[in-house]
Amino acid sequence: MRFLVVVAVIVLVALLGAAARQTSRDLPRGLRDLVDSGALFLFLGILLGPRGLRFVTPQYLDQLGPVVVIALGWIGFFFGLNLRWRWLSRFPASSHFLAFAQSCTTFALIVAVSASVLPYFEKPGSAPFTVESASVVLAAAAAGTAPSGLFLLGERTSAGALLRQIRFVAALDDLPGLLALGLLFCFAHVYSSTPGWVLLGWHWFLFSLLLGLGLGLLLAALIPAYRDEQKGGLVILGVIAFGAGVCAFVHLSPLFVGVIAGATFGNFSAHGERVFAHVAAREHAIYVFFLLLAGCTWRYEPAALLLAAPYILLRAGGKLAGAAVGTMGLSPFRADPRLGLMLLPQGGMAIAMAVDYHRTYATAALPSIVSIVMIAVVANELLGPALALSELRIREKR
Amino acid sequence: MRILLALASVVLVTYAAHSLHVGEFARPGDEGIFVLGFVLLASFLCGELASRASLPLISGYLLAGVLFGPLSARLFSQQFVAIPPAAVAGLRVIDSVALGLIAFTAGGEIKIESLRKGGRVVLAATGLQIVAILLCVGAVTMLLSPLLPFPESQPVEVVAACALLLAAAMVPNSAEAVVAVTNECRARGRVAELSLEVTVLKDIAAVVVFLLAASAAEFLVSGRGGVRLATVGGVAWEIAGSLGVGALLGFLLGVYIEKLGAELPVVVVGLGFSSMYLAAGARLSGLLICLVAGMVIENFSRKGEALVRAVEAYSLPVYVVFFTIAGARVDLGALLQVWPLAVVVAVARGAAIAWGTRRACVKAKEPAEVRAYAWLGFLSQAGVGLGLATLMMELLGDVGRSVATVAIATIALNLVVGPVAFRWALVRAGEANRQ
Repeated sequence: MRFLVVVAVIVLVALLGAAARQTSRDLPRGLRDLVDSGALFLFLGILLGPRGLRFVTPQYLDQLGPVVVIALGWIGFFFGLNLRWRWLSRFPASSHFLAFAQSCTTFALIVAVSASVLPYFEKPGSAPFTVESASVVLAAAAAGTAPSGLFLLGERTSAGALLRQIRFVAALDDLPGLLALGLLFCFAHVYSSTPGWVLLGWHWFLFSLLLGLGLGLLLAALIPAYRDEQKGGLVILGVIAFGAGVCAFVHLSPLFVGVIAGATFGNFSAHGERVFAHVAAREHAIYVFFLLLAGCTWRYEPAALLLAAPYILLRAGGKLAGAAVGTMGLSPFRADPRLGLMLLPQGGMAIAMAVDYHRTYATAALPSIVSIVMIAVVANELLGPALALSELRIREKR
Repeated sequence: MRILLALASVVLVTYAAHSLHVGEFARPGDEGIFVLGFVLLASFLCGELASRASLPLISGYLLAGVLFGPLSARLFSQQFVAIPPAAVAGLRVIDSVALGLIAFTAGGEIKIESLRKGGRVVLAATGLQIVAILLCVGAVTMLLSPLLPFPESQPVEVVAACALLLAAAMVPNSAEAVVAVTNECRARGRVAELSLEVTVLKDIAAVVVFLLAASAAEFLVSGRGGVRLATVGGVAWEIAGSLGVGALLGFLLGVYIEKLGAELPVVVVGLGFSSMYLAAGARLSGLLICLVAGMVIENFSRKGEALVRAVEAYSLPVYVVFFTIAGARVDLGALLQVWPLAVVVAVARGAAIAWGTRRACVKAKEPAEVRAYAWLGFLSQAGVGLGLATLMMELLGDVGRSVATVAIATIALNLVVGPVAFRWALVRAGEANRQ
């Protein structure tokens, strides 16, 4: 009975939250920032979860686990749908280079620093590969930029062309992190000291790619026959849930496989717009639901708080350095590290990566990766859009 | 061809995943999500294949359940069962959602105006069917008693008790199948109407009939018995209480639809699930509650159409999972063990239904196509019948288990044949695609 009430409350909050996100323009400024950034739902999740009012217990969180897996697949698929060549090719090569350069620079910086620092926080007797995998997840979560905060800047500034390019970068730059996460899942579960495990890891990676590719093609083959909302919706849900289920079964990343499936479908089907509209219409509710559950997994740890501050600063450093590398002499950009200030927002995809990893490879040997990422997301989502806006205004004045 | 290829690839990926499985699940429930994904996709495709073969979609879902459930364990290996029993148990929550939605739909289809006009034929068909089933199935069971798989030879009183209970378990038919096939065929007309109305009434009457049959059986077996007051009180509470709660729920939902109406599909799913879940605890019938609620909204609110649309929004995935699970629960072992007996009982039941329905229709001067085809709407059986078969085991122990095996096998046959027959009847009566 209690579980029923818990599910009802979470679904209700998710629906209200989704409605609030869609009509956030009518909300007061402070509340609007909290809603748009998703921070409000994380806080609500923390409040309802085992570290707050204990309304949602760890046992209920486990019971809701399958929904989280589907949500991860859904988020990945939605991201992948954006990667349509027709849309990507509208932007110049310099924008693509900026997206990947700043993302990879941030990733490299954080993975290197985390791998050196985390061993000091590691409890003795932990499983092999723990520090390495945690470092990759932290870096993958840091590498991307949340586009949601940037989308709202359009109405506050007239810097149209630059903002469009920055939004494009933000929509694309999660890709290196997702690739790293996909690889991590493939290698983590075959890791051993015996020779040949690396080869086995590549086999799993190939399986991930083929699975995503196959699911995308399957959807592309089926969807033209089902134009009505009911059957079309069922086919989309079926493909996403099936892919996520297979991933949960063989310990692969539903997020990564979802991205591959979405990208494959988006590029091989003429029905991309229709499916995009269907997935996007439900994305708000799924996203809020996901943030609430992520908030519930929050663990209060001084070590996580301690690590979060340098993590945020390091990420900002990575973004600035990455922007400098990414704009080096490429038209229409000039070497411009300050552009990195506009790429600070960090959002749901970062949390999705952390939760994806946490679900399969949770460890008590290190401070909670989800908590570190969550703190960073809240800070970056509250400060990032403001910094981006001020930078845009400075450029406008020039 | 495209659907076959898609289905083959889903099965292939599932088989590959089973072969590659690398140990324990990351979290409890992960197997459930794998099975749910498989069911949503593979069963849906099976339903589409069935539809192309002019069979009802739900026959495809049911066959998918049988094929990828117990049958795959027999054909391949225990390790490769796409829909394993443990996961089926985990997906039972969908049962509650599905039954709630089905009951809302069924209630929404029952119009008081139509009952006022044709109430007598509904009552007559229900009564005649029940009497005919009890007599016909009971007699056939008595005649075939030497073939029943009893552990040892039984006295005639025990055999009579078994025959009576088996006949009582054959009374209800599947409201789920009637609603699903009617919706799928977008059927409108007298056959569809009559099927739904009689089915609902029979489901309520079946509980009372079984209660009386159980008391008679107890008397036959032990010489004691008679209807206990507490049991009668329980049944009366279940029916009257459910009617009352259903009417209240319908009123409140009607007010919600008229005043707010936001996120109605989610609200309806939530209410359906909660009603089924809470009713079980209060010894009420969740099915009846949702049914009456649907009826109240359809007949006393101007927003009946909104409810139907809300239910439709989520009904397809829920039906796919519900009927696939029903298929996966089919006891193939029982069916293979006693299939000749099951066929005879199913034929006897069908004949009784045909006679009862035709008599009622002839007397009420229903049109020729209704007289000819309406009986085919009452063949399918599912949940209520299975519940009664289970009760039979509890009442009569080992002896009851033998007869329950026949009952379960017969219900499995009716589950597969019933929807096909009903769809055919709707098409022949010219009622398909008229909504």
